Amino acid sequence: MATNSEPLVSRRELLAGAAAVGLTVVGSTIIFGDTSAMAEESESAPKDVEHTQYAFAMNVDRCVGCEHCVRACRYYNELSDITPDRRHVIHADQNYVMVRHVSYACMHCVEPSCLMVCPAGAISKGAAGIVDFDPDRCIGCKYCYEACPFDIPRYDNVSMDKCNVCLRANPPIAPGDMPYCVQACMFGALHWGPLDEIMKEAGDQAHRLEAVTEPAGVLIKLSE
Amino acid sequence: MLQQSVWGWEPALYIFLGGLGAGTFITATILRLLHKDSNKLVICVSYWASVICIVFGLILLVTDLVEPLRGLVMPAAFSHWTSVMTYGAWALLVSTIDFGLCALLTAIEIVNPPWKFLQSKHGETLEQRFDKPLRILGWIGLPFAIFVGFYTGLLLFGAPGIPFWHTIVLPFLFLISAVDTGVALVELISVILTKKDKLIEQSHRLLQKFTFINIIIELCLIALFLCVVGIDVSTPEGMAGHASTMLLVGGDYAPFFWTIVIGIGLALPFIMNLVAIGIGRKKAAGELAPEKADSRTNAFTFIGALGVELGGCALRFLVVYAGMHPDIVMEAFKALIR
Repeated sequence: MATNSEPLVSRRELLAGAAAVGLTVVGSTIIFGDTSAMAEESESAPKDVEHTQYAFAMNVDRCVGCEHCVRACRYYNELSDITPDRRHVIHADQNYVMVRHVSYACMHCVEPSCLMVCPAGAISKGAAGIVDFDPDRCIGCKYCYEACPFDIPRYDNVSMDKCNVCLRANPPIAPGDMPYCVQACMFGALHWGPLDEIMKEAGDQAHRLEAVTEPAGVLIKLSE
Repeated sequence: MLQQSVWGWEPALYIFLGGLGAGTFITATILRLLHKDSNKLVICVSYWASVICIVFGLILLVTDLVEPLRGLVMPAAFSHWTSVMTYGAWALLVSTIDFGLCALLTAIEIVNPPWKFLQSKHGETLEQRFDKPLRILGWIGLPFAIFVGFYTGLLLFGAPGIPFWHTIVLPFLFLISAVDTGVALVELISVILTKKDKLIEQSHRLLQKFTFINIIIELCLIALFLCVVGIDVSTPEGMAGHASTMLLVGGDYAPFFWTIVIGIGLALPFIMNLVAIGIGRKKAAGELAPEKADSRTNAFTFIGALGVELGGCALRFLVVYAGMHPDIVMEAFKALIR
């Protein structure tokens, strides 16, 4: 118990307490300030993957033709030996000087003709604009192959097969998340994201593919 | 350009047989409606031929599927009504039933079996009793047959991935070709059965007129089709259509196109028809003995009709095999890097 001659709290204790309160206030400000920033970030990210058209961006400057994307797709989607590749890498020479490469798969078109022509209704368009197929409904008439402007559908002994952005991969990828081909690319040549954002961010480097089906596929090339 | 390789001989033959069956039914029904008391055996056999063509075509369609058993469950396999194939499958089913009933009733009419349930209490003949049902079946079957003939081209038109097929001219071309091959099949049947059931003069002239009109329209439509799909080279789709056209008229398929489709399929029947008409006129003028005239007419008609069948079949095969996908990604890629 303090006597009349001794203060209740020493100057050292007072200073230590003030420092502690000050640190608490500053720390809280930093934490809450960060949360506020994160809230702003999440407001700018697409909230509604369900109704947003996603697209593959294929960077022709970065692709080296290693086909890791093709192998990753086969591995994680557990494709059988007789199932053809879902992803393709094509090559072309640039003015006879060097060979360039680009990796492409299903364009997940805005107006997919494969979906329109399927008599069994085995093809559907869902979240993130992904065009998926139901191997249990498909009768294998191959009409989707004839309808696709990009020569994408392939067939094994069960049904039609094509890219569905790893929806049934092992483990599966949720719509909007990066599929395994994009994850496997060591050179950043592939990207999967909202089509509008890709076009906006890439600016005049973005060249969206054109067809009657409105493909969600964008070639990226640095402007000369 | 990537030549399509997934649809082969089965779909090509199925498309031909579907059109042939439809065209044969149309011809037989018109003959029956116009000259109903005549040509009974020819009409009956023609109806059976139309059913066999359709059924065989459907068998080819199902065996070409990756999952044939699943394809047989029609309510599930053909349930998506944005697909042309769905409409075609159901129309073919209805047509098979209608054509089959026509074939059955006309066969019973001719055979006239002594079955009790067929005996009329009012003394009517089988012909009298079956006349109305056959007319009704004919009128129901006609629009379905026309649709089936049109559908064989519509099926290809509905595939935007093959620019060579993606023109509305193609369904009309295949419809006319279907009628042409149908008339030719009825002519072939009439020649084969000439001793048992000689085609009456009016029917003969009608079929000759049909043949002339069909050949001229078909030639015009082939020319229009090739122009429409082959002219544009400014886009990847146009280039694919152009490449398919050149393959047909000047490339690897040119010998088959010019010799079989145009030569044997159109020019030969046209000439044979002219010769047959000439012989008919000589017979009418008394310059040629009737038996000799008929025998020669039959020979020329048979050769011409056979030519139509070969040409019609070759047309389907060449159009299916010449289809090419545009290489949109490669063209865009090359345009970017060069």
